[in-house]
Amino acid sequence: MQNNWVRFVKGCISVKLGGDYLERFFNMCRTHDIYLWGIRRENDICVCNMYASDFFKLPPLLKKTGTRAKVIRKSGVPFYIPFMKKRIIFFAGVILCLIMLNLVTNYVWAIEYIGNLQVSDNELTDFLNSQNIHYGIKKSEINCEEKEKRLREAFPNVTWTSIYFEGSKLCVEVKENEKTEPKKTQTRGTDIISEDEGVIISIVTRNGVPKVKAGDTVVKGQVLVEGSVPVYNEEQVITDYQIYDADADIWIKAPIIYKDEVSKSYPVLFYTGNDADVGFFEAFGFHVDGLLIYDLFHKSKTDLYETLTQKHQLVLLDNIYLPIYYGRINRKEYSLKYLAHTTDEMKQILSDNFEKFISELEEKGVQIVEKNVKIVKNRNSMKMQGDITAIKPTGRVVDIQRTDEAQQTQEAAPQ
Amino acid sequence: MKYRNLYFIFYGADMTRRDIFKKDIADAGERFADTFSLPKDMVVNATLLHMIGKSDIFIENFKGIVSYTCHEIIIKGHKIKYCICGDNLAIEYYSNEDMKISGQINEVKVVREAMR
Repeated sequence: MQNNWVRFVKGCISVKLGGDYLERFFNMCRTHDIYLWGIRRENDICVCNMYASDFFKLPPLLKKTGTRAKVIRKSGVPFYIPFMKKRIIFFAGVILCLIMLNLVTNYVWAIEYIGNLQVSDNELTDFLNSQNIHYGIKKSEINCEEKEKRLREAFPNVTWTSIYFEGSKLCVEVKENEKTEPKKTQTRGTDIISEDEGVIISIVTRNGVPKVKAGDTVVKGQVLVEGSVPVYNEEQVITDYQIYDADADIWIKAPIIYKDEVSKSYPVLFYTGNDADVGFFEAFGFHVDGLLIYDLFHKSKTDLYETLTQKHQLVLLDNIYLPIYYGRINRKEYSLKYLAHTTDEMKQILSDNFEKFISELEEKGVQIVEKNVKIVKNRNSMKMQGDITAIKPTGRVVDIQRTDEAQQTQEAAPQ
Repeated sequence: MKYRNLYFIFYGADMTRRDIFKKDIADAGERFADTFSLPKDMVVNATLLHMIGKSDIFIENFKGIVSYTCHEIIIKGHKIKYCICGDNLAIEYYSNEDMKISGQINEVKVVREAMR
């Protein structure tokens, strides 16, 4: 049995046969290598299919068996040739299109990432770029198995990978290890030092040795909690130090210096109403927009503009970003004028700013104990300055600073 | 004489010695195929019928069509005929090597030709 496509390409005909010796006719066709199919008996006649080229072998057989034959249907490429001759350019175009299609399907035109949660698409794209895999690469140049291995090596939390093609799309499928092991932070040994100068209100130590207590006055940079914990022997002599990362909640009462200034004159934008809303196109570094044409017809009063650009990049198949941009430019022309604040306005602005500053501190958990600020008026401005006494958290983590005493003790201990 | 009596026991009293010899010659091929485990259709030129369900039948190593109607197709084999009876019988393809018959097949009969 032969394929329907072969029959279509070679061209086939349906023949209606009539006569008394049809069986003999069939047997003679067989001996003459004439392939018949779809033989159906309808009363006295028979309908069968055969190749168009075989039809020319029939006359002697028909004559010998006294069979009448009539072609009732023709199909296949040979019967389209006269039709195609008149439209040769169209069919040439179709064939060219098919050839082009066949050619372009040998390349990768899209890349899809499946199953990645921890590893981002950008990381995978960077990895593929490092492996010289990009849009437009020939499929045959990619060794999927080798790249899978490299991908697993590059990302330790990727447990399984599969790189395969779906048409002209390269699919990178990964499975990640969901149970990631918690990172073991190595103890490097840290102290906590004071960030401010003031009086310690409270200290709660979780790790390390506290060096100050509530009520002590400290200076900036003083060690509050030490990360090296001394180990004593039975004679209460320090034999060794255990190193920890110091951790504590320390509250300090310290002054905060506040300073704010408002100048008398302030700039105000006045839009002239000379607005331009034009399109633009950018490709391969070449930029074209309608502003030049707009400026020819509209005289600008100032050189000050507020410009809003909406830029879109041309994307093919959701993934292929072409270096072609398009969008709109909205340009508003304005002029600057300087106005002057009144004294009340400046006071209001300063007090508003101060209240905002205080509320921000309170949001951070800082308790305000005392406020001592004053407003000073100058010729061109107004200043607000003073001190705020507040209870706030303090402490900066720094690498351990072992004292000379501790070092000496540690050196002496082995002796 | 003793052997002839044995033949009568196996093949019946109505068979002559010549008939028995002819039958022996005819069956030699089959015995040869059986002995050497060879395919019988190749050795004795037998027709091969391959039936799928009750609607399709493939036939190989045949000589030709004797008769074809909607209800009966008679195929000529080597010294034997096969009669395929049914309804809406059609020949799907007919080539030098094989043929396929499809339709509602009710019966496949073997018609032996008289021995000369």
